[in-house]
Amino acid sequence: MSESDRLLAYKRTGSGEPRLNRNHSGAAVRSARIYGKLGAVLLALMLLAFASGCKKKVPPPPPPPPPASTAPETVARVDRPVINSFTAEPSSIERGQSSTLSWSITNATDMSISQGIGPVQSQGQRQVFPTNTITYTLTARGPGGNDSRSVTVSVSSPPPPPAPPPSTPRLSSPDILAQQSQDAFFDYDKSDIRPDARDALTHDAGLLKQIFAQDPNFTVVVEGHCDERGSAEYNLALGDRRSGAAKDFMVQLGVPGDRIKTISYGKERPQCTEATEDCWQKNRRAHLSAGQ
Amino acid sequence: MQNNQLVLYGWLDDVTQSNTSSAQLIGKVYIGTLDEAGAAKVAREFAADILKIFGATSLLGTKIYFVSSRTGHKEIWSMDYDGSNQKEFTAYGTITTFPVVSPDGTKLAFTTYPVRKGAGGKVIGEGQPEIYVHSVETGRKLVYYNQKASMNAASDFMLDSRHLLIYCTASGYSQIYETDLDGSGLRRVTHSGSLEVEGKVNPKTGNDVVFVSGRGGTPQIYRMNIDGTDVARLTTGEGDAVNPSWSPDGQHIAFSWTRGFEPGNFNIFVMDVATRDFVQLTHGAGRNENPSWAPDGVHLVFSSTRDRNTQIYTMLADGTGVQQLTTQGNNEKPVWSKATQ
Repeated sequence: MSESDRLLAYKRTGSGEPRLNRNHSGAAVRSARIYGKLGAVLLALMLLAFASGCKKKVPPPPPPPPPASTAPETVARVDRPVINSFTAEPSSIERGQSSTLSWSITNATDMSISQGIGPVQSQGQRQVFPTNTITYTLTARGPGGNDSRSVTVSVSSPPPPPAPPPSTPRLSSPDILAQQSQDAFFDYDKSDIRPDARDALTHDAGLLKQIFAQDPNFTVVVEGHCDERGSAEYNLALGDRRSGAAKDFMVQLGVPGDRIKTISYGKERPQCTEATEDCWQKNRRAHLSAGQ
Repeated sequence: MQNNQLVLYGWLDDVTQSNTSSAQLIGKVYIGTLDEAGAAKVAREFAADILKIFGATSLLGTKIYFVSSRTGHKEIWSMDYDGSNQKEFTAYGTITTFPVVSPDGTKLAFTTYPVRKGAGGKVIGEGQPEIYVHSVETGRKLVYYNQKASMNAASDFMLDSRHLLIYCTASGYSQIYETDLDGSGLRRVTHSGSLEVEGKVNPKTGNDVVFVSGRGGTPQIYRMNIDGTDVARLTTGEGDAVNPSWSPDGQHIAFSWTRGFEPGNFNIFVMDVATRDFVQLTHGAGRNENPSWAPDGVHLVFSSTRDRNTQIYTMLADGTGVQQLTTQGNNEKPVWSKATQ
């Protein structure tokens, strides 16, 4: 049987499967002759349909809607509600703070936000104070359908409040100073900061910065002292130079100068009175005490 | 004795005069109270008249101001030239020291650490050392504006008794300045990078100043003009030389020096400023400090540790005739004032 006969047989049965008419020899030939021209046209049409259908194949699934995109979606249909945007700014807060919901909707007649916010206009903002992490859903309905979008506001705990003062009394700033400050010592007739004094004053500068940071009203006095051997008048000036040198050193290390006062006691306030080199050295000093 | 009074009839005769009627130099009655003080008074007055005959200034009526710790705090005290009538001049209850008296005897300046009191009168802090000026006659504090500095101390009054020489740290370290009586009109006198203290003006000329400076390394005594020019060192550079005091003649200074001894051991010296020749008046270890000339130009008052504590002594300017004036507590830094009556 010819190729065209076979095709004819397929067409006439109308089903998707070619079914050969076994008793075709006579009938098929006769059908082929009657429908010859029409069949050729139909064949051509069918071939044409087949040929264009190959391009289409199975249509791919529609792309998922873009998340929170402000660009309006291209819509295949007219009048479908669209949520242009739905945001929460900021999206992370501490408990007690607020976030602002913002939205923009087109083609909707009925718009509402969950979590008790209720109906809203097509454009708007709302300040919210959630106490826990929460997801708000905006739903937009209209004759063309509906749309919805969700945003989540994350709520974290604020830092814990400062611990209450311990029941045992805390050391006062004057006590801390008295216990932890170090005297700077000087050579006879000199106000130079020698290496051991440098170490003491570096330590004291760190200590003062700590105390000032936690006690904004505290001030300190740098006292200048001398040993008993020189005259009281010259020692008044020398003690002043020593206290000034000690203060200058600590200010260079970043201690605020307006919190430090200097007082020279010359040789009027010795901390020992023996006529020994040991005692004399103890008196040649700069000493930190609490300001008033 | 007459009518419960002590009466001294005093006669002084010049025995070289052959004519007895012209020989009498003094024929006078002196009256005093009927006690030891009265006896001392009439004796002193007679002696003063005798001295006047011979052209000497008497010490009668002159006063010595000094620092005493006998109340538990260093305060300014006063006493007569012989140590009698010792009494408190200040009662500030803090460290009060370095007294200076004006040439006319009417003003006293000193340095004190003012005490600050909080609520309820409780002492909450001490201020930086500053200058107070008091009237001697009324005892009351006068106005004096201190410089905004960590240290202010007075060292002398100028000849007119209306200006002061001070040393203060207005420049950042101790330098010598002049101010008006109330502290205004600040004028800087010294211009060095070293500690300078104890400026004293020449009481005869008012034109030059002796002072103590560390510019040579150790404290030494220098002189300069009142405008700060022409600085020259007077002492040799040995030891520590401090506490200069002008003689009324404007040609000599007394001062304290450790020359020949370990640091801290001071003796009293007198120097001719023009020649730089000097004489040592006290000898030996210990501290002999703050000499001050009497108005008679013959006596000196000073402090010494030769007894157990620090006490005040007088002596003649050749080092003889040492007399102890104080005994209670520690007493120091005497200054001799002319008589004001």
